[in-house]
Amino acid sequence: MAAEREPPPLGDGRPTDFEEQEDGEDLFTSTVSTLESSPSSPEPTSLLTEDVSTNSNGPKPAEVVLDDDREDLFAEATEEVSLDSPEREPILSSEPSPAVTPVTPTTLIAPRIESKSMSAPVIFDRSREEIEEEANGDVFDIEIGVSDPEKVGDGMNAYMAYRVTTKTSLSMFSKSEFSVKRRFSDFLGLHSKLASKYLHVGYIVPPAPEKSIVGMTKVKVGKEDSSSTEFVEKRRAALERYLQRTVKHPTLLQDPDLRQFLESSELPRAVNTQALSGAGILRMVNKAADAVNKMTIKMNESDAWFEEKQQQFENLDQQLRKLHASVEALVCHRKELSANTAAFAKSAAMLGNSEDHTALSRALSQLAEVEEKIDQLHQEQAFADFYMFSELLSDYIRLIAAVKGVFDHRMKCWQKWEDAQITLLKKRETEAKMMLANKPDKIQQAKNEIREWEAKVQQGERDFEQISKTIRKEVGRFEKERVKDFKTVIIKYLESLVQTQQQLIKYWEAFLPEAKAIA
Amino acid sequence: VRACAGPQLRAAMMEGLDDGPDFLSEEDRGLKAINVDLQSDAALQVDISDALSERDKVKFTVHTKSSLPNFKQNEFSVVRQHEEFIWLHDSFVENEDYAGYIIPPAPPRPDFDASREKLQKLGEGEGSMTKEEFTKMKQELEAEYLAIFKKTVAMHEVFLCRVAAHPILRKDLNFHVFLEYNQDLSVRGKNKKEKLEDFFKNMVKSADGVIVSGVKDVDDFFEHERTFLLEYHNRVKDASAKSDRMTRSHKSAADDYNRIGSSLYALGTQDSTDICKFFLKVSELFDKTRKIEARVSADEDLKLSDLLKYYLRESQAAKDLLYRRSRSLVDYENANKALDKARAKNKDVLQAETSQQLCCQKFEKISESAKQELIDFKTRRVAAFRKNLVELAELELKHAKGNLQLLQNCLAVLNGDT
Repeated sequence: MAAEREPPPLGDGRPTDFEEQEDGEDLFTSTVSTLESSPSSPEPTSLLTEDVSTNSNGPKPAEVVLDDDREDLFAEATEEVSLDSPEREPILSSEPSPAVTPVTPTTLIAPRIESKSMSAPVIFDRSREEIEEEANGDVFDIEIGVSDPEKVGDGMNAYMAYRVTTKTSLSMFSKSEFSVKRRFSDFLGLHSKLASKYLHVGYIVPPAPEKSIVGMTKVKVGKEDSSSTEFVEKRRAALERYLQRTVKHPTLLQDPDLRQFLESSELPRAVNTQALSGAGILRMVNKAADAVNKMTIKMNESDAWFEEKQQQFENLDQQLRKLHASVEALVCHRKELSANTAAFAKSAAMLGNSEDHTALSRALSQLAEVEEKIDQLHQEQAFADFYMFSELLSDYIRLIAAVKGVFDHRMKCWQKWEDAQITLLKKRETEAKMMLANKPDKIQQAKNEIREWEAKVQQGERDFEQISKTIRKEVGRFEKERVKDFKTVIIKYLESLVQTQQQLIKYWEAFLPEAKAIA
Repeated sequence: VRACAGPQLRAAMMEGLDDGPDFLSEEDRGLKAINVDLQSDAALQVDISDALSERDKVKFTVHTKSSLPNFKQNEFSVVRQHEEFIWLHDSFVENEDYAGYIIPPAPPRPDFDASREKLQKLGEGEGSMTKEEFTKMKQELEAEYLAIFKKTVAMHEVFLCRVAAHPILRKDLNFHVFLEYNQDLSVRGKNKKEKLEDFFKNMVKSADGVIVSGVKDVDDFFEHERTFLLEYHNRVKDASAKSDRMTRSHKSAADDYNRIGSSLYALGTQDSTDICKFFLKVSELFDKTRKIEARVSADEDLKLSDLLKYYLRESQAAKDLLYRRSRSLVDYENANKALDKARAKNKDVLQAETSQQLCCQKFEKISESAKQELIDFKTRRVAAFRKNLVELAELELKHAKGNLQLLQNCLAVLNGDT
């Protein structure tokens, strides 16, 4: 990966040895924070192992925490061993700046073996390994299906319930195959929870499918026409892709909310997802405020990697939108072609009827039949155009928006750190002033405040480093997924085109002798 | 835009297409095949050897080879415009002697407006697209323009060939003047007054047509033909319109492939991951498959839409023949009644007798030739449909196989890479 990023310059010119501090701190802050379900991903290695071995028997709330941490640890270990400079090994201490001893990559791998033999959370161990393998190889042993849309209720209170089926051999789940019923707002609720936990620390959380007031109203009102069935199918497919993307993310897969969503038969209703609810309006206001803030943050980007990537994603976004527009046009024209072919088929049949030369009349009727079959073919192809190609593109356009959001969070993180530094500076100035004015009690207060803000600065820096690191990893993973996704889907799409041509050949081959038979 | 038929046109076409000669010769055959019985007749051979498209008119070079004594030379050419073709056609229609023949339908007016508009819009929008896109679209539009041009040339040629092949019409004096007189025929387009007259004539004719067609024909053959032609004409009209719409949708979809190819190309050249090779290959595929799809659309247009359009016009001409015959039948019956009246009153009997005899002769002459004409019409129609439907199926197969090959090759490369 790129060289160690340099932190933004500090006003007080302290030595730049942040790496030493961050890990130990992270362990503890994460210990505390995961209990409130907002983890960051720490990098302690043998430290953790030690910790676990001493705690393996005692029930400790930190166990849950460690599970998450450990997963991250190992995921990182296997992915980044050859990359970044060696991870540091912090020493457990309550001080903000513990001494560190470097850890070589081999030490990272060793703990894994040790942890296998531990009696404590064995289930978690195994699942962690599974997740590692999955993060490395492309073996993902979890499959999600969304099916059987069912209308529940009547009138404006009606909603569609979808069956979410999970098939997995991952041991973190109690069964290997199970299904639950979920409605659209449940999916939105899940996304909202995941986003609030992981987005601001740099994880690319896949966006949920979009709401559609018009579409849903038609369904509620009970319009049983083709456009509402199409809408439901479009939504079902989108929900399926959404879940599949979410479970592919190693960190998100570990999230208890996700597991609850997949497994538990009853789910508390997510009311805050309604567009016009109080929470919804608050969201809109916050979004607007965010947009304004983004414009005013002038970040000193010390890491060219981030600038480069942002530019790349910007370009990619533009290109995808353009491509998406062209593919949507294709879908539209293909549907038109299908309709026009059907109309022509009927017309040709009529012409065949009125033709008084028997053989020609028969041939024209055959032509009509061929065209009717071809019309079907065009319709199916239009489906493929849409569900494979067009939806892939629109999914990625929204995913890139999520990526951009993550970059924005990093900027905000930087801003927070910057602000802390400025405040620290002010506090130091105050202290100096008090010393000059010789006010002992005020001096003590100033010293306390300085200590407080020093801590905040360090935290700010650590957070910034952490989010930067996470983003790098996430972007790497995202790019890999993107490449795989596009290749898979486009190849599938091309195969659909192949099928269409093969069918066309069959139909025209059948017609040719009929045409030749005209005498 | 200057585009030429004949040798120059062929050259231009070959530049623009991958398998130029193939495309051209099939198309040529296709259009001439609309009238299959146009045997090459050494006595009189007519073709359009060259054409020039200027601002708002097309100049056709009509080339004649003849061994007939009527002409001063054995081989000669003149330049004619669309209005002169119409003049010739109308002179046939208005000639009472030809009342018993299906007059070959007049060629439609050359219409480049839509194509020109598109080229203009492209020029205006040049700034908003990449150079590759612009070049691609320009080539496309130029090919479209060329295709329309070729079609109009072919339509005019078919008209002349039909006349030249007709045993009676080929002897027409106006026709010879048209072929030989190397000055402008000065047949200005009809002025407003004449257009209005035409309009009323047509109105009267259709009103008449209704009245006259109410008369049941004693002759089974003609009765059957009348019923048949009325229905057939309407259905061909409908089929022709629907076929047009179908080919146009096909073309729109092919155009979309073009844009998709360009976008994929842009993605491929900008992407930082190893997917760029993949995108470039798929972009190439879309470019190639688009060419085939465009060809499919063009061939369907030629073999199906044009065929139907032509028989729409011919069936109208056949209907006109039937109308003329019915008119003469009505005249004959009226003359009979007048003769009876004259005999009863014993006044102007000779006059009435001559008049009746003339009407009788006219009617019988028309009936006789009309019968043959309608039989020939059926033969021509069946042969033309057969040839075009067979060629349509063969071309569709050829293109589908080509497409399939392209797709499978591309998939092999893509799967091999990943």
